[in-house]
Amino acid sequence: MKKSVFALVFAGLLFLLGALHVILPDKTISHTERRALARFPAFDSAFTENLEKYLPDQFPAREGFRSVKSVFDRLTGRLDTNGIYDVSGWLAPVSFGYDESSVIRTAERLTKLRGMFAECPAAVICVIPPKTVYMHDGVHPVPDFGSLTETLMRHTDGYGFCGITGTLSLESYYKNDSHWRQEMLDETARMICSSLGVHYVTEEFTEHRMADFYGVYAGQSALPVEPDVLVYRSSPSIDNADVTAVGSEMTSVYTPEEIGVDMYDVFLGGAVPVIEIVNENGSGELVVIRDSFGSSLIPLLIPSFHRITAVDLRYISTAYLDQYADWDGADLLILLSADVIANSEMLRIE
Amino acid sequence: MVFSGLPFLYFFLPVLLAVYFIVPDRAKNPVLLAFSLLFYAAGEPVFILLMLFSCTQAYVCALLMRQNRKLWLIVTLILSIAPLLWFKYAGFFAENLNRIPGISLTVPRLKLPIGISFYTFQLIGYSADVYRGDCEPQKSWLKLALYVSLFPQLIAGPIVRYSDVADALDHREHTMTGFSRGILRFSIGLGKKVLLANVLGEFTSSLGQSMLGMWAYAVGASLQIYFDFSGYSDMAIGLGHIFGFDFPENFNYPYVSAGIAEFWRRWHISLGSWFRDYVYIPMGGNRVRFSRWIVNVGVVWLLTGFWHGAEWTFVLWGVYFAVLLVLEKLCQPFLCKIPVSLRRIPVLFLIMVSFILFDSSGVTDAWNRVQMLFNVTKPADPVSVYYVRSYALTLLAACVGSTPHPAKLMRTLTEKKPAVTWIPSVLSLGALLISTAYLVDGSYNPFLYFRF
Repeated sequence: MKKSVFALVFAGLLFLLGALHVILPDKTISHTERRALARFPAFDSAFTENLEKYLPDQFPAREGFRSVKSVFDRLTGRLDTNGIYDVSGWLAPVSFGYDESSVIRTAERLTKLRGMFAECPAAVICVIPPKTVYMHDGVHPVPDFGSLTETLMRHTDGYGFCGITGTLSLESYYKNDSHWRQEMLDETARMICSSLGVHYVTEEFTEHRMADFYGVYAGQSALPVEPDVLVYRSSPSIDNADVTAVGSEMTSVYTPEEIGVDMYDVFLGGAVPVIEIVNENGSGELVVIRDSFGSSLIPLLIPSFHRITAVDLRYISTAYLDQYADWDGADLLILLSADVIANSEMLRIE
Repeated sequence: MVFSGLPFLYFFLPVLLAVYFIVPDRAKNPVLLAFSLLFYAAGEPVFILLMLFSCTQAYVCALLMRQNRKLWLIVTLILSIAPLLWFKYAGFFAENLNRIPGISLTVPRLKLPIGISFYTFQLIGYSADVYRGDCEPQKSWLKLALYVSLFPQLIAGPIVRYSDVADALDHREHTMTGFSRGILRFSIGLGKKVLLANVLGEFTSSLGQSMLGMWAYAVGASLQIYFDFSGYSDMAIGLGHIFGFDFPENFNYPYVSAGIAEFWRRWHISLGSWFRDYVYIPMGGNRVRFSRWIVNVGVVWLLTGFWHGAEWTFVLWGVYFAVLLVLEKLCQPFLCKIPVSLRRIPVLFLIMVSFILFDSSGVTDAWNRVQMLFNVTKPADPVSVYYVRSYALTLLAACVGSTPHPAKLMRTLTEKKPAVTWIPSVLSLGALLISTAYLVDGSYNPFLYFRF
């Protein structure tokens, strides 16, 4: 390449990308990363520091450049990109193990929680395994889920345990997201009901499909991946359930018109601290201490109960629960993922 | 602002290029000075005044040396060194003096002005050169200010001698050859920094605690600091070429050295030669009796260590090299009988240990890390095994890239087959685009030598 051509192309690229950065309007949200993008900073003492965050966020063809980086990582032999790896199309985060001391702290806090729900006749803990349990490839580390549940069982008091690992497989999870697929959870829901001593009521489900679901790992890895199809199931009990929520105006179990950056929020409206779901035709009451995995499983339990109160203790403290939930006579289900169990500080149990 | 950042690459540099190459020649120096001060202000607006003060006092004193050389040399040395001593070392001295019973000084917590170690040494060198008659004092304050504040070398070197740029300050040639040569060099540096140094930084911060982890850390950190610092120097030299300046080389493949003295002739060359010319040789160099030579080496290396930072680890690091250099000199008759390729292995190990010391939080931390290198009770851990596998190709590329072979291969290829002279240009554009991809995806990535 002639020196002059090379020099002009190089300088031209600098000018072009800089000019495009200025000319193109700023984007507000990154759908792949599920976050708000930085806006142009105010002229204050932190201007230079904030500018360093703003410029990469609003860089022209940002998603394209992120993909270039991920592909280059792959070409240079990296076993993961931005901490995400791929086994036969399923994406998962690299994780070396769980912090045992944190699991023990969670166990102690759940025991304390049991004391707050002393009136509940039945109390069951169900720990949701991460998809990596089903992704052994001999290269990437797989945290010891069995050891986590064993430690939890040893240090909690007042609960029965429901193991659901056998009811799931890799296909039970989305390829690009951490969560499980609702349409694959019948056996899991049945197992949970059985552990509570409740008959699992099945109904004729209607499946609703939402295409182009790019889950959390797709955005994080920035790799070119095929999207998942998100399926949510409705039935007469689910459709007719009365739904009231704290911190949200949702009135139905599914909110397809109101999802934001995360399509998974179609299930129970996403991050809502307390939701009460009443099925006039059901019997029995259930309080579910849950995380986002519970959002897709709880609708399947609606036909089996009269009232389900779903509580996400990551967003509300137990100190305020009295104001929003009534659990006299209700069974208690702790339905939490391994990651939440291993990070005790996430649960606001006081 | 850093060269390997989006603000510099896509805003500061294109605007500067446009303005600089549009204005007439007589306006180029003021433009470059203005942009250099803007570059400095992006990080440290307040300390611009300090830098300008240092430059002004050196300018005045150099002119006054015509009347009383020694007096004005002493005055300028005091005025140049005082801010460095205050901002960089006052806290260290106060803390350590407070350990003496009966002394209770207030320990100042001062922010270190960016680049103060570099521009102070440039000013001292300039003043000494004027004193010795090696150069005439610069009559234009603007040109001297430009020499001191020139943004390519302001914040992390190379330490440019005034004589290297004196002519270019008056008159520079701007050719397409020089421009494209500068861009090529700049993009090599950018690739070294973003695609190697930063990636190696991720690697070293991910490792676990085991013998394997410590060896991986030591190798990775040694390569990281080389590519970070030499990458920056490449960018500085490239930018110099773009604007018509010829900055000295700062690195010459130091990891192929067969001796410690050779290593320091190849690593941070501008710093080593500065200490040689302005401290070691004035003290007598090696033309003194042996015991005095040891003192000379000790003083130079104490100062070199101390220049890097106001911590006992840096002092120890300097003493470490002083001891190695003395031992190497004593063992020279024996060492020269060993083949060069075999001599490289212990040299690399000793350099690696020096970087462990350099990077440690204290002497105890450094000792624990060195011990971990030989901790056979914990040979490996899953985290380190995973990341060594994951970064194996990057480590290999870095090892090969730290030798002269890739550059030699490229030169041979382009000389023998003129049809492939486009390869360096394409690689350079690729380095720009892929580095941009990493910068867009990543976060702020300052240079390791920024803190000096």
